Amino acid sequence: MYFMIVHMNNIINISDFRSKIFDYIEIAGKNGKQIAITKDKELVGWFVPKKKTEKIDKFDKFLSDIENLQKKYPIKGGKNLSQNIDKILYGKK
Amino acid sequence: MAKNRRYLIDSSVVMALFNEDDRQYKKAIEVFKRIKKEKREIKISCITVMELVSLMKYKKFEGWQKYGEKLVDGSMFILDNAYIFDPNDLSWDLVMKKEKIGMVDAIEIEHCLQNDEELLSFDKAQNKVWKELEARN
Repeated sequence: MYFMIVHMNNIINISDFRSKIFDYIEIAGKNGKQIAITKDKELVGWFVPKKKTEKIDKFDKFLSDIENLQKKYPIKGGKNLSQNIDKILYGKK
Repeated sequence: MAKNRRYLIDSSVVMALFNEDDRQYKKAIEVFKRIKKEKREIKISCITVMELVSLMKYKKFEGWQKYGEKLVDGSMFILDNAYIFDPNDLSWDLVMKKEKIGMVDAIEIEHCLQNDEELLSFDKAQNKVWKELEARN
């Protein structure tokens, strides 16, 4: 025999779980908490909501990093900087 | 023409992206979004990095070190560290003969031709030469 300490709101009876499964999916999805399922007061399983795993694309990450840099260190290079690199570094070409 | 070949990025595109005031800033953002959809990689030459870092440092842009780090940290660009100069190179020939082509522009064009990569540049003169030579290949 073992004891398990869980929040009371997260323990439900298996019959209740079966009859209201879609409600519990919604609840678990909203608050992200696990639900303990019992039968005759014994734990028979856990309902574990799938955690959202956001895969950050390297392009999004890079553009976001540059945006953050621009907020902290804005480059004030004027409107034609990208067209004048050679002129600035090497003189007019 | 290989569909998913790598891009080689020129300093004009990088600087347009870094500089929000730039006329080509929005175009640079769109270019990156397009490449994301294309699922293609972007290479940057060590010579282009030198050019960009020199420019930012020379212009005393605050945080230039941080911008520089983003070029070489591998998070976005594949850094090409190999460049050996030879006066028999196409790049040297281009610099000698084409009026509006700088040394770095020429090296990037040659690199693309040698490695079957696509030039990503906002420099009109460089793009013109690149397209002429690419069409011949």
